[in-house]
Amino acid sequence: MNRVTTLRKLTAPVLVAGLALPLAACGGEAGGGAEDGVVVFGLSAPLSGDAAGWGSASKWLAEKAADEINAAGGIETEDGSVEIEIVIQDNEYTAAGGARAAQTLLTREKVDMIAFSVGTAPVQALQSMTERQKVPMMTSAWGKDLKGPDFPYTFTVINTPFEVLRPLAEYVLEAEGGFESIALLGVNDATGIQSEEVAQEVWAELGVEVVSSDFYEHGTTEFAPIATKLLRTKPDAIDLTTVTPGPAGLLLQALEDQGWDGPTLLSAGTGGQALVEAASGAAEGVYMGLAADFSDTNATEKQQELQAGLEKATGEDLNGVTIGAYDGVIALAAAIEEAGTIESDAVREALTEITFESSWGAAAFGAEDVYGAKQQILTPMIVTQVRGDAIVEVERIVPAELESLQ
Amino acid sequence: MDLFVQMTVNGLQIGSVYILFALGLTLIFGVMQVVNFAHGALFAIAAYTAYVILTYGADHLPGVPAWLLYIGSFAVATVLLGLIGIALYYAFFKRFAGDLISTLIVTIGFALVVEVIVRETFSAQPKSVPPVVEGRLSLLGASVTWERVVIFVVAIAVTVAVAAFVRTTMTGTALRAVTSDAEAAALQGINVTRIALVGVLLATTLAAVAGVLIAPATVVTPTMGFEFLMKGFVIIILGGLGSLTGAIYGGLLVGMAESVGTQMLDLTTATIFTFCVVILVLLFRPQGLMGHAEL
Repeated sequence: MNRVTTLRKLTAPVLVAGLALPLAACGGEAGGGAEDGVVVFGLSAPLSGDAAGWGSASKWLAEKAADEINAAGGIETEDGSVEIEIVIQDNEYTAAGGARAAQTLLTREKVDMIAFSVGTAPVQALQSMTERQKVPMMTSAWGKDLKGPDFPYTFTVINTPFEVLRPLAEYVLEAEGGFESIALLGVNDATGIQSEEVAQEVWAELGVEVVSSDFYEHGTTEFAPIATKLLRTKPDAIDLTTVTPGPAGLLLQALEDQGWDGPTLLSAGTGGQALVEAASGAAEGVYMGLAADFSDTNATEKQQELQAGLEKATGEDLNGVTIGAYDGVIALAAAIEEAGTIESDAVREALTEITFESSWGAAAFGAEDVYGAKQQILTPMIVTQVRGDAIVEVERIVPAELESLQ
Repeated sequence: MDLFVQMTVNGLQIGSVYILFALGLTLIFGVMQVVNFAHGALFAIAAYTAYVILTYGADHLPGVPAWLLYIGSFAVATVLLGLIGIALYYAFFKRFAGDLISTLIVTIGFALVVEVIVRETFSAQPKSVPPVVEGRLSLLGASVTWERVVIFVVAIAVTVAVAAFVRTTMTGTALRAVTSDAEAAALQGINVTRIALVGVLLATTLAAVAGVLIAPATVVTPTMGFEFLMKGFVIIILGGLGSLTGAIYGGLLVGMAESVGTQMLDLTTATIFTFCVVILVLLFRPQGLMGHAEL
């Protein structure tokens, strides 16, 4: 009797938890694995937690690119055409989640390549397997030490602070008539720490003193004390580097409440519209390096189409990170077609040689002088500024290396 | 001097938000011995209710003043959360009352389901809700928004009202009796089931007040409940599980610790500092500042 009662008592909570977990990780359905006529592309992206929006957007964009290619007859190889299948795993935007996603994608799903992966910590976990198994991996991760001759199968498909921060800083310095000091704030994770190192370096090279640099924890809900601390150092400007749109909006409100009206940057911020929404008017004038408005007419027709489709399907805006999911699939497909095979070494080699039609227009992998290998996508860098409710493009810089290829 | 005042103001405004959130959490533990991880989800539902009604009002009801929409948001959120609370009570809380592990699993599961539904419905993009009152108050060189002042006043008023309810009414006395010893209360003729349901409804009403009122002072996201929940648990453990006055002291102490710690230390160490303060208090007062379950 007691055993029956215990079982009955346990049934409901276990059922609820059982219902909740698959729901929380929805989208992580099993894929088919590599088969004849099919190439399986894996995605490792957050589908739960704070960054879940990036995951759902990445999934839609990768599937959109795959659908376009499949509808056009698939990828031509020496063995005939192959169709793309997309498999996504939730990496929870954590190292542990990234390791689980990596195991599932590479061991259980046996994907042929990684078309997109999000978050420095989970990508590092994934990379330890992709490099060992010689699986080409497209990523949005920013770490400079993720690329180079020691990691030949890793390619970054979005601009990173290494590409963006210097032109952004130079532009802001000129637009604001110059300033002498700046306070930095970032998120205390691998992405935030690596971006802060770049920011420290760039501002110092431009002769701007970094008067304070700090990292806040994920899950922080109250920003008034952080605003007070930033203002205590009396900086001429503030760079919120990797602060995500929600916290950045709250922090900008707190800064405004405490009297701040100086130049403010979100140098590695990607979600412009989300920032405007979260800041309730306090984001006016903020400069951003990775937050192009893809609904604007300055965006390519393809990007405008993707923005409209994504917004309709998921409610998310296309941003400087998730655009990489579309371009990752396109780049891999172009490389497979160039190589004529899905054999990984041939595809990796082709990736360093091709010029392909990305969402930005013609693109290629380069920046060997920075990373020691051609592993960084070359696309225009766009400096934007919040003006009213709009994200206005104020500067567009096409890398010289990309211009020389066109 | 300015810094000292600003630190104090920051601590008070943070503390008031924490108090408002923690009240419902501590009440339901006091009445039912339930570690209610669903409280964060209920709070998030209330915040999204305010977002939907305020946004709809701005788009379609231009003549209706914002304060009226807030009252409407609160009414809708109270009814909605009340219905969810009743469902949770009969489905889970009543069956697992006092069983910490089962209620923990059930409420975490419920919170995860709510998070996914909210994310699928509204996307993960942060949403902002316009403030109840505009402008800011300058005080001895420090600055605080009127919005935060309102939250502080309401937090205190709600606490006083709840405390008066449980101390001066028959239902409140019965609540205290059930909190103290449910079996003894039943032997005295108190309908424990009905009183426990009253406790749940009181907790969901507090979640509705907190969600609607805090929404304009933060950003509304599917994960906002979890973010506040962690602080909420720290506060009610610090104040004494089940104690309303403990939630006030706990909220203010954590708020002040965060405010002071942020100025003295780097932000990561400041987070640890807050927990060190909590550990230190619990070393000397393991039952929390006000002791356990003293409504």
